[in-house]
Amino acid sequence: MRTMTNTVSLGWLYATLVIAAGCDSPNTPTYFPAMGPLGLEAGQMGVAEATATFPIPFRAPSDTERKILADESARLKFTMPWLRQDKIGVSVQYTLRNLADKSGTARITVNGSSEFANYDVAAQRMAIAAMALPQQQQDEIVIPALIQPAPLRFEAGEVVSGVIREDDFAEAALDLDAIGRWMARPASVLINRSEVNPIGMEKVPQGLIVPALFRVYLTLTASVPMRIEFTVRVRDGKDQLLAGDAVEFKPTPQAIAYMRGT
Amino acid sequence: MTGRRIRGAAPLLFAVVMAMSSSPARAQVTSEPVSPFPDPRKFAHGLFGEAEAGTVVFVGSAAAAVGPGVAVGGRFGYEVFRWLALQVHAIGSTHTTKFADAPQAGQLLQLYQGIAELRLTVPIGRVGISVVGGVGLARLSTNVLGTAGFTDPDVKRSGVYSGGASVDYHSLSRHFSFGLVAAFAKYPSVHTSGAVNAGAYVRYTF
Repeated sequence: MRTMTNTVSLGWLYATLVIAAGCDSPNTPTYFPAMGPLGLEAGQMGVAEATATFPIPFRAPSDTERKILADESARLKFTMPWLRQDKIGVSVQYTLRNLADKSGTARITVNGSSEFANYDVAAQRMAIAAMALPQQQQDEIVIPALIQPAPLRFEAGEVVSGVIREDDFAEAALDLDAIGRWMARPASVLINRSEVNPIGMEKVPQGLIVPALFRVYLTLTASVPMRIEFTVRVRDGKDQLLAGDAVEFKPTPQAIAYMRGT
Repeated sequence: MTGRRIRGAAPLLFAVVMAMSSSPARAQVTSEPVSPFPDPRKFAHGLFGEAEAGTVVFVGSAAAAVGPGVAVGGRFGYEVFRWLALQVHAIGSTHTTKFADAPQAGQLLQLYQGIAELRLTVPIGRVGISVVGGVGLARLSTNVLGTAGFTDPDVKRSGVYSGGASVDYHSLSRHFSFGLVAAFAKYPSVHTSGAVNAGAYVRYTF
């Protein structure tokens, strides 16, 4: 009888722990819907582009947390980010709909900002335009995105759902930090998966704590009218999402400027 | 020595004489004898624990958006009388969203519920027919329902009002019984009719 009693009690204890752990684990993500459908209409040249900027609301560190970050930065010899890629999982779920009565192609690209660097393709294009280069040269400049999946072909009225996964965002965050803080060439790191070909990562220190993206730019380029709906899914491993009366984290990252020959 | 043998044979002789002089027995069976078990009075009662497995199915407007979920749970309680029990019910279920043509489709969602319940039972031999009702709290693992308007934004918690019925069958062991249970739960913070929880359980009464 004692054995049975103990077994039953342990079973209840285990069930309670499992349920309690499930309630607050990093595997309980938070979804942020877009403010509205990101509609897109074809432009004059048959190609149109629309971009949505999506800031993920995180809380600012407390004084104690700032001191810990400063101590860790001094020990590691590089600035420790408040938002760590290994503690924050970001992904984007989307549904793309061809509104036209004919087939077309669409491409979704993602850029973003960490607390140290901002990779904004639109801003880079404006910088290129300010260089007063001939239009032909400007058109030849290709600025790769942090995340650039293959284009999709749609039949008339077709609807496709997809995910830009956490590992894509992890690679994007590493590439962005390599470009922003460790002098990597964008063309080198953005076209290679770092675990396959680490070219361009030579100056990235061992044991680097990679900063997570806190702002996402999602761009849709389509040859015919299409509409995208998306949600940003965030797994928060350190309870850093903004909640209650906490102060929002608003860093001012350095803009990545377009450089010739990159 | 001879006298002692005669004294030893006397009881045997007496028995033979009595047997020869008795009349034949005429017993008559008029009905089946009552089985000595199971005797419901001997079933254990008092503290008990249950383990259950089943499903939770949303009904109403959320039924099209949230798939049926596998559920596991348990109850722990005390039978004040054979017909009255107070119990705590914990149950967790996991669901997959199925919003049509929306980015939230295909997401996992867990529902955890803790309910304080009152159970009234009509015992009929080894069978017990019960009604159960209770109130408690529910927690959603994510806010994905809020992104589609099934809760207010970022709401992950709700009250629960639950009511249902169960049928219990007691084994020959005085401790174990088995049963089926079904209940309807209403979540005031979730904009749908509610959910049905149905499953099977095994109960151990200490």
